[in-house]
Amino acid sequence: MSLLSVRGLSIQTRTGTSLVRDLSLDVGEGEVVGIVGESGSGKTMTALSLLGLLPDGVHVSAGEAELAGRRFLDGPRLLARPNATMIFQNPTAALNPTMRIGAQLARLLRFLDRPDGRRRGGDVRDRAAGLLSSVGIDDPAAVLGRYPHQLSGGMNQRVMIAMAIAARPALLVADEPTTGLDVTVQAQILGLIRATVAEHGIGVLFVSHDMGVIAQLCQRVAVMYDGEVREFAPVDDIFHRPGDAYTRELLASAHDEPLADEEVADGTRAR
Amino acid sequence: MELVLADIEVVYGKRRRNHAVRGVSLRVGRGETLAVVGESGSGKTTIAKVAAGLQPATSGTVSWRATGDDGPAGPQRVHMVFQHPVQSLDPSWRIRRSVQEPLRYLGVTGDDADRRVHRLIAEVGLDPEILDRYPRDVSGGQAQRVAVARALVADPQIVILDEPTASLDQTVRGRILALLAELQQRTGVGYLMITHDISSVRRLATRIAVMYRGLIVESGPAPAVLADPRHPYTRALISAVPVADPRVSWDGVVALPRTSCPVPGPCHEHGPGLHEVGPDHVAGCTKADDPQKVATT
Repeated sequence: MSLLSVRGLSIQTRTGTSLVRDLSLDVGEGEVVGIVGESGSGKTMTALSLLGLLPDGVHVSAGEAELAGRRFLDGPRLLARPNATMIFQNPTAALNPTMRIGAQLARLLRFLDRPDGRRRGGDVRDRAAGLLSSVGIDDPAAVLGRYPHQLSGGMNQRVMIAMAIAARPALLVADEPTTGLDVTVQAQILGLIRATVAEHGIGVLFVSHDMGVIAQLCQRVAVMYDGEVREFAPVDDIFHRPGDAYTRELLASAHDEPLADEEVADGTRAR
Repeated sequence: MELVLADIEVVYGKRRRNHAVRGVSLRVGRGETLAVVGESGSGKTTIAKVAAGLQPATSGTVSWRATGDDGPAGPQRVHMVFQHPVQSLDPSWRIRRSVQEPLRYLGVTGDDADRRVHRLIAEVGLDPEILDRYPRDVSGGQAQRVAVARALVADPQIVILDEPTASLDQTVRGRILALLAELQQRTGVGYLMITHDISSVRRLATRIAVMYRGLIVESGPAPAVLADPRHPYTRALISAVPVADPRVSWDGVVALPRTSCPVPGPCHEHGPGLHEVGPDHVAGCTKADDPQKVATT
């Protein structure tokens, strides 16, 4: 049985413009499922909708979603907060710029302690430092005392991942978490995500436009174009037996091949 | 014409602590593309600004050398294409005015200017109706084509491309790179391309200079550097690119300490000093000649 199951998801703006149409996909436990597509294809809206984070004026118009057998999304209604967390493209902007990392982690840990009514053992600061160590930060004490703007993008993304796994989610939604990072730092973050999946057995829905990243990280891939899933298949099929013309175009651009056709208009949408 | 940067040093900060560029020399001529690659903080964007005259170097010189293959000589020798295409256009100007602006400084106006603008807009593959739009009404890919048209409208010798495809999608990226290559073949313009994207380098570069911590640690013909990288950082950079094939196993993680070389050795004390490892191919690593043995330099 799959961990996350999305059926017939459609997303619209208030004025009726369709952003995502009839999207279905699954993510298994310990599985990384990629959503690949260009800007405007609806991949980020799909990710946001699963956490109830759609921007004002955009809503789910149809469809349902289950996490671990429990339905949490039914059309426009978010029935429950799913046990899922999200990391974003620009980690420095996703963190609070006015608070030190230590204070942000402490606030999160106290918030997470609340449901069972009592604090867990250990000083919050020690637990925060432990979290940072677990995402490969060598000097957690120093990082706890810094503000996000004093850290690199790669370091801030590690902090975001630490915060995301602190909540012990069943599902991690990652929206282009390495776009804009240096390629060497990207390799480290991808390694960290792989290790996190292996250690915690969580499912990951990984949004990207980079076919290299998708090839290396995902077990299954949904190719999106213009609000629709054009193909949802195991990664090996996507790369070696693509069933859709748009998938073939993505592959051609990833392999630096000349583009075969102009079926997809260049730059029809702003990033 | 060749743009020559010699021994460029750039030091930032009140107390002159931040040594962004530590003695970089490079040249780029007409018809070729020199790719300067490196990570954030390597000094590559500073080099672009110095080459474009947007920022003074603390020491070193920027000059032009005649090479006998000069294109149409104009006072405007260098133009630049920036990373964020939409932000690089004045939001209160129609596209027409932005593309025309370089011509205004050359005293080209009226019908002449209009003809040149239309020709360039056609050459970058856009419909002339875009000229009457504002930047907010065009996509990122279209804005970058506009920026390329603006950079080329005054027939510069060299165009500096600062991460020209970093904010574009993979498919749009491919088309912009193809356009740049085609325009280079047609006009003979030279490119100084600043990037951290190895796939852009594979497509466009004739030569590569790899920067790390303010120094060039390797440079040479693009095929040689890509196929046979000698400096440990160049190797780390190339191997860090995820392979777009799930059947190829890839890890890509290489530890990179904050020094001029990721591998402990004599370079740390004496600085690398570039030496030849192949035809026109130099690397700043004492082990670059043969990974098995440590050279005595």
